[in-house]
Amino acid sequence: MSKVQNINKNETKSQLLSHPAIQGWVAIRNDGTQNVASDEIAERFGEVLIYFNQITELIGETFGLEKLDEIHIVCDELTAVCMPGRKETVGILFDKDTNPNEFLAKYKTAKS
Amino acid sequence: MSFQKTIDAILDTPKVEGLLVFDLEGEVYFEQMPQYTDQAMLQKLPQRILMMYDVIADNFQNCSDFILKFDKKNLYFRKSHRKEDMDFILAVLGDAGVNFVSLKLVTNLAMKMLKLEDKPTDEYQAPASPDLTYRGQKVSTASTLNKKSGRKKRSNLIYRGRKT
Repeated sequence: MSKVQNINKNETKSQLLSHPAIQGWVAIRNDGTQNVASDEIAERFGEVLIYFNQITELIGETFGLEKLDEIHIVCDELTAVCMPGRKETVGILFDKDTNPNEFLAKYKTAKS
Repeated sequence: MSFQKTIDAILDTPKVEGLLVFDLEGEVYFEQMPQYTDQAMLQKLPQRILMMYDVIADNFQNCSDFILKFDKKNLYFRKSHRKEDMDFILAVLGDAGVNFVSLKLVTNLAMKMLKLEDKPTDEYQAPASPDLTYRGQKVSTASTLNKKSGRKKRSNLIYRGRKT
């Protein structure tokens, strides 16, 4: 059974981020300030997020694409998902066994 | 299955619109992207993707796959894990509804089968290739893309030890 199937649909975003399948999270303003992270590993991931926002914008322009919804990065030990917003970018680190899509569908509709 | 069939299998995956294959120096081996692609930016694409891999490896962890989900399209990058001078990256452009499970299966095949070998010297000149069309659209090939970007050498594509 998937680890995220038992999530209560009334859980808030911050409650969801404490789910066992989540290895860490980071929120960073797009100007590079106010980096809030769950731990040191997530903080290190946050440092590359802003760069990724910029470089993926250029990559998207190659094909006339403008609005980036998500970046999924499959790393050696985990899967990282980056969700750029207008002011803030959120990064979530998942363990290798978790399907991020299932979690993200619940996260995006959860209350703040 | 020949190299071309492996490539065709990726391009024939429903909602896949384009494919780029390049090595870790940014040298393009195969390119077939839609006509609306910005050709000047396409030449910089391999280096930009390589920078993403380098930045994440240097500052966080090694990674193999990237998926960039835009509102209308998706980009899927996969890096092979062999000896470094033999490695390559597949960049697949697909519609937003592309099935990643199917795409992963078909690119797994390319990850296992495709080999970049026998890199020729700088004196090697790639033969001129004819214009190609795909689904009625003219496409630029790796040799024309390398020519546009000033690259002189061109590697051969090898499939299970045979030049293709």
